[in-house]
Amino acid sequence: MVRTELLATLVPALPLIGTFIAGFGRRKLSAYGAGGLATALVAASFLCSLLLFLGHDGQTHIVHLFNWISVGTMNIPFAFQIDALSLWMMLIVTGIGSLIHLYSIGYMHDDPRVATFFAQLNLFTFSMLLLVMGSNFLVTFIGWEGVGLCSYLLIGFWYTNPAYNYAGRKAFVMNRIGDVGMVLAMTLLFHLFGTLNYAEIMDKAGALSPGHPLIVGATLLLFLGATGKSAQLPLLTWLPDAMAGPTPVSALIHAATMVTAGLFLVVRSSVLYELAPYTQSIVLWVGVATALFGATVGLFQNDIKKVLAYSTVSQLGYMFAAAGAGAYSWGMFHVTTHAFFKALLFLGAGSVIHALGGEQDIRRMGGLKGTTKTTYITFLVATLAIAGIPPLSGFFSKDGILAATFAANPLAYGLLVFAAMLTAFYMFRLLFLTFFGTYRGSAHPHESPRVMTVPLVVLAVLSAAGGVLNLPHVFGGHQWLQHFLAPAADGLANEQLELPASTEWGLMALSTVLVLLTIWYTWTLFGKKTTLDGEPAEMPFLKRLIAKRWMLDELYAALFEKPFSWISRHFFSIGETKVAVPLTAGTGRAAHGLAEWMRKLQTGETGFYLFGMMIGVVVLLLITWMGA
Amino acid sequence: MELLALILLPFLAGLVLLAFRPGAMARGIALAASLLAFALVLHLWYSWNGTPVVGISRPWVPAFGIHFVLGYDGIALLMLVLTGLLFPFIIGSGWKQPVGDPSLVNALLLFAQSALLGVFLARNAFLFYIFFELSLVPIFFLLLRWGGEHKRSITIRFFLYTLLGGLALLFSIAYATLQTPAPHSADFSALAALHLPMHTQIWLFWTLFLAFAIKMPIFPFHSWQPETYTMAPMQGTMVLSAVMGKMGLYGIVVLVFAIVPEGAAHWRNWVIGLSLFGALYAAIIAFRQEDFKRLVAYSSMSHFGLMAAALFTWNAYGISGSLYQALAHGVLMVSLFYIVAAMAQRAGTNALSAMGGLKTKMPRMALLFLFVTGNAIALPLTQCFPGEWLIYNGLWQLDHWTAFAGVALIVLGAIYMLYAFQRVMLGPIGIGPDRGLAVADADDGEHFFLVPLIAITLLVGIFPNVVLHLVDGPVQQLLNTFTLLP
Repeated sequence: MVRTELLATLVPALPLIGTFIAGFGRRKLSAYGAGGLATALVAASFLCSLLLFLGHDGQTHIVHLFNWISVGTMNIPFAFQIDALSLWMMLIVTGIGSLIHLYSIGYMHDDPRVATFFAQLNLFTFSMLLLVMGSNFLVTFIGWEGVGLCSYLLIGFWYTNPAYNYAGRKAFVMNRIGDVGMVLAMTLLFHLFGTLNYAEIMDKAGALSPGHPLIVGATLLLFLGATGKSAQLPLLTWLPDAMAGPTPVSALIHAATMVTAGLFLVVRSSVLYELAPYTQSIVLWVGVATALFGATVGLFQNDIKKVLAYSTVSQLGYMFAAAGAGAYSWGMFHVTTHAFFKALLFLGAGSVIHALGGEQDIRRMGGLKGTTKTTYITFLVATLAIAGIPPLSGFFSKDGILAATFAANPLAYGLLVFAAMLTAFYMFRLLFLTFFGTYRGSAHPHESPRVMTVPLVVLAVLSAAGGVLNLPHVFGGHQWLQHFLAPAADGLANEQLELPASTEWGLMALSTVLVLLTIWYTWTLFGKKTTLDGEPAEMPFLKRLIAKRWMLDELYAALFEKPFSWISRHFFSIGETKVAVPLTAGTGRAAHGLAEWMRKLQTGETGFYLFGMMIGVVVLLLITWMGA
Repeated sequence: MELLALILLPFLAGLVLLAFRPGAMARGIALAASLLAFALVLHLWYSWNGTPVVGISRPWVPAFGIHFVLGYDGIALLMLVLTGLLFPFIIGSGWKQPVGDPSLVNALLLFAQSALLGVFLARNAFLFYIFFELSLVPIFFLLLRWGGEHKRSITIRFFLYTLLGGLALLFSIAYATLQTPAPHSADFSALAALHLPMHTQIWLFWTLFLAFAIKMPIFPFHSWQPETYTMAPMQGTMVLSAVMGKMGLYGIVVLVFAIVPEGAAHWRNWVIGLSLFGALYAAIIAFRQEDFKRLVAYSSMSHFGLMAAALFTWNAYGISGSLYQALAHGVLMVSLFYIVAAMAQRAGTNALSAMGGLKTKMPRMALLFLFVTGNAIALPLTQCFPGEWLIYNGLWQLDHWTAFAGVALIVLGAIYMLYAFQRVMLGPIGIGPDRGLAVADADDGEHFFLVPLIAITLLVGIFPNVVLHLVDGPVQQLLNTFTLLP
């Protein structure tokens, strides 16, 4: 037990120490010093997580540090919950995190603020660990807000660019809109259960009947929080803009870890979601709609990071669709494989951008498979994985989700298969335009240094072989991850998704064939591109709409941003300047008149009287006190 | 004895400054006196056993029920900690941002502190009133002498407006005292024992409440605040927002809730509605403010609206959260107005349009400001978070939709604070003419001021129970009296 407590405290403490050392020593540390230190601390945190994982006995351990907020009957401890779910997330966060830290040493070494970068990246890791390790909603919320802050800071890392600062603020404010839901859900749950501890709430929730209106309310509000953090409709427009941050940040925060926090929260409270079928169907359909939204917009993007950003939006939609269908462990499995291949894709994109001296437009790439061989091969592995080609990891996780949605709602299944075809299209378009054909730009491509390619190779191995973690029964596997996670929450343990084996084979064959056909079609379009095309003069309406991201940003600007700004200015120019201040001025004028009148009686120095009054009172006080 | 010493200490130190005019040394003497006062407050806190304390009780003008009664309970102690903690900072801020003649300025600040300590120690309504009005006097001089543009008209307006509330308060106290059984007494204990008829409570509530509503201020009694905060010299603004506004919250607890509980019960939905509306209104206005100082002034008003609304929820979370937040808001406002002044000193103006990109020139100041911004938007593990969390719980317990309105502030707060941070610190440098040349990063003095404040912010944010435990007992007592209401 003491060992568990020590390790569980070290896991978040190590990156926090890194934040302090790299942050306060930022002028003294060399680029490699700061990067090496930060990486080593996250790697050490990974080792501690691994030790906890290996020593895990299937029981839930609460590591109580101190009482945080106590008022009346409210007692919120600062405590960690070590169970299968938090352990699994800790491994992902610190494991992928250390690889991306390592990569960043190469990627960021020329930046003058590299130590600050690592301090913030470590702070992010600390916050993310608090988020997944918290034993109650409020400790999770510390991490929840912490990752939001780090995301804000890192999106605007190059702070002299106003567009980047705007993107950072947009991310934070949109997340805060989700947080309204999160805070209200927490207050609701506290008043319903008298506690915010996960274990107690999940125990007590068992006594409630399904469809209890307060549970429906709480799950919907929690889901609002999740849509903000995990970039689901309608709160998703911040994520593509978040690509303004350095590429390792996009890989770690805006693909592999932070954006999965929303799903983590849903899985953490899966018991509640199981009690709210209404919410579940909303989660399912928001997930499906987001998967389609991201996949369609990804089709026409030309910025390599934007394509990947919309792809992330789309894949997160899959995860929520899984949760909505009650297949929480498949959602978590997709979190895992997605962390592997999406981190790899972003780091690969970073390597390409690095090779081309900052170029991000895929129209000015091409033919890079010869010059950046490691990047190309690893990127290919990741592309195959995300497209869902067997036997790579993405195939198993995506197919599990497709099977679960088939069982829940065939229409949702059909739409997700369609989104899978779109995924294959935009990913292979990206792959072909970047690495195939001939080079259409003017830089001198070169492969990235070893410190950047080693993480690529490790992630490629994981992306390729990650499927074994949860090999389905039809392949003779044991769905290990599902069984491992099952004790962590009743919602996970109650999953019942057994389709007949023949149906499962049929579904798999169908989606695989459709995806392969799509890839072939993509090849005919982009496989041998040699020239740079200009913008087509006239695009069909639908294509134009999709290329403009369904006009969502424009819609929000017209509906919220501009009216808010207008109200803000007019509350001041009318409410304050024309109404409130003249009212006081009226009082002032009346008083002035009074003062003029008084002036005739007295000397008129109000101040002098006040001063006299003060002295008088004090003297009076003293005399009284002495005399008594 | 020690309570009287606490009040007299800053006052006598102020007299010494006026008598000997030690020039620049005045700041050191004032700082020492205020630190000593803080030490005394800490001593009171340390030796406090959780029950109300009466230190001195002597008749003064017995005919009017005026007694010289000093004492404190947990709530008063919290306010004493607020006053004791912040005055050394407010006085210390004069090192980097001198306002004017140091002897006079520091004497005035010490007089103000003395009066404020008196307000929170008084256990007799007349005594409370005297200190309440006395505290205004030194601030009046500070503003009149060293304010900015239109200082004369704004100061007079502010003074008369608050005096108006004060007169209503005086009248109400006199009225209530006369209702006590002979021999009349204005002691808090005597007034709390009153059971005024409902029709009296309904109007008496407003005459009592007015002074406090203006003092905080809450909507629509706020119109003096933005212009006064903006015009006042930095130290004056700090005293007004960080400490004097809290007299409003405190007065509501010790007088309004005690004398007219049924009147408060009758009107409290109105007060909550106005306060919350004002909180949202001020937060929305803050977003597009062009003047940095006025922006912070509106942010202060927004926070006050939330605190006032929470105080009237009449449940443990709301009231504890509101009182806790009184301290947190004080620390926040002192740090924010200090940063405003530091930026204005460099830019030569409060206008946000003249700032921007300053992080390039002053990365350390940017980091300090970032910490303060985090506290302003109540990130968890900063001081403001537990308060807001409790307030939202209080609002939720009262009414779910009210909680929605309150929680909307976490979005609005982030909108205006991050925008302000961006407009000061981020973006390209050198928008205005010949800027970015003379801009120096935070120096030792500024670190010496802001780092301890930030440390307090984080420590209390991590261990809020230290503060929350102070008010546990008194809040429970208040709730007990509320449950006895018909």
